[in-house]
Amino acid sequence: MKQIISSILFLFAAFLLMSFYRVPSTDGNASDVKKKLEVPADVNQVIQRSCYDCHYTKSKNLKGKKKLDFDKLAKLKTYKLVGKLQDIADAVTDEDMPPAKFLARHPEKVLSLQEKDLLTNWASEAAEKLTAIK
Amino acid sequence: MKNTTNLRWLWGVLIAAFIVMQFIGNRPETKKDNPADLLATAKVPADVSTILRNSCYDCHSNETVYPWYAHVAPVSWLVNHDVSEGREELNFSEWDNLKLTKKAKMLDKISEEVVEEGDMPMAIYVVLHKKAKLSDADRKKIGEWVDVYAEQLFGK
Repeated sequence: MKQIISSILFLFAAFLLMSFYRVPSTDGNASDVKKKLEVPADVNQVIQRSCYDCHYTKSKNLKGKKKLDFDKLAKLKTYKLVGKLQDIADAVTDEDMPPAKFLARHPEKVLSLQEKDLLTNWASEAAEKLTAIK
Repeated sequence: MKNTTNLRWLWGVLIAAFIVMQFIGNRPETKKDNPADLLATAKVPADVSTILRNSCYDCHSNETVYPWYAHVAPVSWLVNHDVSEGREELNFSEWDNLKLTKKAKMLDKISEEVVEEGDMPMAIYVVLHKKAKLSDADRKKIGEWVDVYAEQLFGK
């Protein structure tokens, strides 16, 4: 009888303890979220076509890849990542990027109005999202 | 005789042109009261704020100090152009009105142009403003401040 009572008490205590434990949310912890920069497939396609000639690690355009390297974006400190994203949005909106000279040589890389919106919306939303988590 | 009249004419035209030149151009105004200024709204270490004031504030704030020659055309045209372009890119007097993502962009540019590349302040400006010249130690100080301040705003 004593054993039954103690097992019941034990189970009860275990149950109580269990209720304090919470399953971690699927987002993971804040620092994981912070590092995460999502690039949707359609955005990625535009970037690959119209930006990648100069802005990736193996590019021959030293100045271009120094200013912005899409391959290294996710490894940057948060402020630099946010800054680059804001800069992307501004440069595309102001039509500073892609450069007119480059587009004259590669007319197939001109951004359509929709593609411009897609790129700038993605960049500014990603920047906002990253600044919301500290 | 004819030669000297021609020469007089030439001088007359040149002097007249020079006088007319003085009335052309648009000088960005200097404003001392700037409630959104970086140095008024953020805690910036004294040594860093001295560097910013000495080396950046003539073009990147509303507190431009114009030397006498900056009032004389055609030099004034160059100065006016550089100051208005500088303020348009980054104006520390309006710092706190920037949204966070723009602050991030500016801090990133400062770290690139001042610390990594050394392109700022501009060479032509430093020639005439010895106080604005940055040593390697100054640049390092700016870099360290940017990192600390950026971490306060955005985390690691």
